[in-house]
Amino acid sequence: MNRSQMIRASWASWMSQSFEPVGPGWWQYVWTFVFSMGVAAGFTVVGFALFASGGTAWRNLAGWGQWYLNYLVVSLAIGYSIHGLFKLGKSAFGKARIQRFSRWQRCAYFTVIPIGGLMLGMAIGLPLARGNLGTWVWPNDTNGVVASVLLSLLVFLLFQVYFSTRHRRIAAEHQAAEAQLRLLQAQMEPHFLFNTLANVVSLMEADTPRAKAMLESFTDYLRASLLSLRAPEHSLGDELDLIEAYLRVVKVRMDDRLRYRIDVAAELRVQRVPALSLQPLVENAVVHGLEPSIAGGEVVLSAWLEAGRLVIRVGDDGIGLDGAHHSARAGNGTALNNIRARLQQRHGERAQLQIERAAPHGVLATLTLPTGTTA
Amino acid sequence: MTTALIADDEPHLATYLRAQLAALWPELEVVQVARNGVEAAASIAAHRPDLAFLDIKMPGLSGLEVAQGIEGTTRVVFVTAYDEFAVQAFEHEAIDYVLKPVNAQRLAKTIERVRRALAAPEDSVTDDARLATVLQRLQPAPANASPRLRYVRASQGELTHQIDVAQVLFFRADDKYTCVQTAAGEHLIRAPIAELAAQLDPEQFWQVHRSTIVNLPFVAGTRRDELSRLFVRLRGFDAELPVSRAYVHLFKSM
Repeated sequence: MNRSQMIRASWASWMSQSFEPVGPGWWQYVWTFVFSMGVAAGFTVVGFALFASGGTAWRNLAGWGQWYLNYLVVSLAIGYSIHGLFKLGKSAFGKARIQRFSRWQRCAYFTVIPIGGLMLGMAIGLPLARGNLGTWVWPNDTNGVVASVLLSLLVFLLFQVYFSTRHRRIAAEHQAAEAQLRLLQAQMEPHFLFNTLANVVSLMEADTPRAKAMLESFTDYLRASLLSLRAPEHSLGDELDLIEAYLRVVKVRMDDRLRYRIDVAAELRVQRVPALSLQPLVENAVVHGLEPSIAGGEVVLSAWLEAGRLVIRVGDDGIGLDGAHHSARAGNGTALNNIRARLQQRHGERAQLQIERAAPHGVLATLTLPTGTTA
Repeated sequence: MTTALIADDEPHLATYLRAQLAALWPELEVVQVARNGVEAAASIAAHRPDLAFLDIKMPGLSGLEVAQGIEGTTRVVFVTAYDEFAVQAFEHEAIDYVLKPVNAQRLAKTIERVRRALAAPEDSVTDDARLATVLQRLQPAPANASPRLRYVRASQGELTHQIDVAQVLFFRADDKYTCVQTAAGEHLIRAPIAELAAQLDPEQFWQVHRSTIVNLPFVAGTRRDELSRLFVRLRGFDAELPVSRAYVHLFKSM
């Protein structure tokens, strides 16, 4: 982080009253000062607009200076009161407790402290400004006091709105990045990698053409996976190619225990689907449905258009959702949650993923998407 | 002649291990290549090989579960392509294992160790104790390891029997149920053995086999048969229960 980035981050951490202030601790006090200076400048302009009388008042520089100083004293008093109260609150409740606050508790906390600080700051600041600089009329002017309190509240509420949206946006970005990372981890799952390589090595001498074919399929799978990770969407055809490469690799490993069928009309291959939205369903069917089954079984992937939507179904006749007692279906949920989160983000309520039991055993995963073709 | 069984659900890996073993240990006779855990367990019971190369992740029963049910003297070598936890545990307890793809040098080392162990059966007790430790560590404990179990309830038609666990001679897995044997008779409950094992007092209830937990106060003694399988005999019950190799050491230190 360079200096200007650090300064920006430190300012942001001050603005959001973060528990981990960026930069040296004393910077936080500087930010309070800078912010108070800005607020005082704002109030000076508003004050002139409301109260200045006579055409020459605008050009009276000394008047500007005096008003500004008045406001600055009050703003600083308010600013440091709020700053102090936040510090006090943090040591009284403790960081962990504040972070665990419910929505309403948090709202109350972040409302009461600034307003309390405002009152305390006015109580300290107004006499100070009046005592030092003489001709201050504010406390006698009820309207002015009410107006400034309301104005402060408004400013405060605007900040609240700004920070809650910003907080939500950051949280969403964070979540998306995490989902992406998990997706990458899932594609590079070590059991799959090592078992595949072990099979290639095992076949190298005994059945070289098969070893070569397996390595080629594996390369196709890796290349397509990595490309898919960079694009949020691709065509159903791309996704099916990726799935076929995956299944060809697993077929070598499982041999006659795995059968698969991809039953998708050629014209549907141009439909747009979220990248890696189907492969994890096929992988779930293989890893949690067929691999733990002694007899193995079949994965069938089919797709069709229905009521203007694209329906894709992955079915297996494996051990099913409750399966064997060592619950091989554990871990299944992660991939599904990941797909659901990405569908929600991209299509909202218009996309669905449904998991149900198949008869007599196995699982049916049905993905419904809005139609749309790739450009 | 030394005999061995290979169990792996991926046929090419099993074939390759078999070829490597043939090259490095020509006198070893592979009696069967099993393609799942159930087949492996049955084959071990039928052929009683000296050695079993068990893949950890197999359909039916995992390699760990197969090991937990071995009754004779068959010695286990685990085989895995990738399993951090298992490999860590094996290293820590000095359990024999082989990594896939099988590397000739590593396999030669394992073979040497196994041969030494087969030649000195008197050391096998400590080996078995170590195996038991590893099995316990690697078998996933049931999530709901609730407080100590004092009673089990068995339904029989419209009736539900409440049985004090202190009165139970043994629990034995029976297909989809667990059979609860008391002096008065037997009842069936749904709780699996692994779940019961986690909930019973380990000082009083010993798991002596993948499918059996015995209540120690009822143990009358043990018997070793001509195939050096160990059986536990219970007071008030005229049949014997097999003790898995991994748990034989429990009775040695009695």
